[in-house]
Amino acid sequence: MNFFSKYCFQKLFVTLRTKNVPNRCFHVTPMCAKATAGRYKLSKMNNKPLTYDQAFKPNMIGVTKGWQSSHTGHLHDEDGAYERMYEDRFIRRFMDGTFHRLIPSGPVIKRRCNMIEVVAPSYTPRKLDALPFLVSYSERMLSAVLKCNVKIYIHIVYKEDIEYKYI
Amino acid sequence: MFDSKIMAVIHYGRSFNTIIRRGIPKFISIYTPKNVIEAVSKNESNYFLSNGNLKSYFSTSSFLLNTSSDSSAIIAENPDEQEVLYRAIDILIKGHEKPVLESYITFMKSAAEHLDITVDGVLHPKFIADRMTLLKSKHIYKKHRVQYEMRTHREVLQLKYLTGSTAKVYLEYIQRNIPAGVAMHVHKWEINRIPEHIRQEMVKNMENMTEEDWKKESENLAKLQGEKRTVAKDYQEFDTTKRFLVGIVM
Repeated sequence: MNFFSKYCFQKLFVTLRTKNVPNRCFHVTPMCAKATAGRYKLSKMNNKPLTYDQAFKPNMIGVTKGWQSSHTGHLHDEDGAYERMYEDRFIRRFMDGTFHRLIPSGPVIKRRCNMIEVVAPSYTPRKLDALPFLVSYSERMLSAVLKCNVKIYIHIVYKEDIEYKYI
Repeated sequence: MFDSKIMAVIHYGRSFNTIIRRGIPKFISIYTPKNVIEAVSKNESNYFLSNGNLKSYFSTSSFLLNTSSDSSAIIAENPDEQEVLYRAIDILIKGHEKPVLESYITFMKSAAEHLDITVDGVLHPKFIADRMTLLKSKHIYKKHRVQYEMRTHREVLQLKYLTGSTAKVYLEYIQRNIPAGVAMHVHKWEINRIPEHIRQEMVKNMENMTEEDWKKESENLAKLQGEKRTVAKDYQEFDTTKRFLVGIVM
């Protein structure tokens, strides 16, 4: 059989099967994970480094800790919280991938008008020449996907400055 | 950014018809918005006509000369566009962090000073807290909950007596330098001339007015003037009414 027709047949089969099956899900009320959110597991030898942002628990946000993404979505009577969260998630995953193992803590995302500014400290990369290329590449890709002007600022930082605590 | 033509407001004292007949007058007085404000409002606190008599204001010739609608209008350098005049502009800013808002307000105030815009005051309406009570555990334990709240702090900058072009420049400059995570709402109150058909009626009725009538009218106006200025209470929101800005009628 042709590969194309085989694929179509399989897809048809799958849709037919799932269409008639009743959707039985376990219904759960919203949960806040108060005791487990924003906490990191201890290591055996106290090797694990934490940045200033990671060291404090979420109840210290607004007290000793700041916000890592600032936008107007969560303000009273303002829209767009879901869209910003979605975009933030995408940006963070993208940065994690392109600058793999270079950015210790999450990048700070700031939005004003149609501009997105992504600021992140990083360790010194093995290939220093590749950094500007990666920055401009990610700016271009993110602005194409998010339809905004994206600016990325990467600051190379020493380990002693960024690692606040060892767990 | 700051053009000289926006600062200068050329005020023609005569009506449009006389200008066409006699030509542009030799003396053109150039007013900056500050001078205009001083000329219009003698008292600092009120907008105009706090204790004065209405009769004196309406007995001038410019009111009775109502031939054209554009008579004695404030015209900018470009005579095709007529300047819009604002009695007041309220800039409301909202944010999660209060120090950010406070620093932004000092920036806005200094910018207004440089453009000779009078700042009427700064309001600090109370922050709005969006609270939610969620279950602590993902399965059962309904009696144990956790409460979160999100605070939005607010500040209002009140500006007094602007022209349309100054307002445009000022607002554009301010909006380009807004900090991240701050939302802005702008409320404007415009000044317009009384329409012609009403003016004609007023001219007719002026002959029948007694002194008592003039007193009553001026008192009423003074009362209304006092209510125009926005107060922090106007920005209060309630769940039942859900009004963002109550709004001043006059």
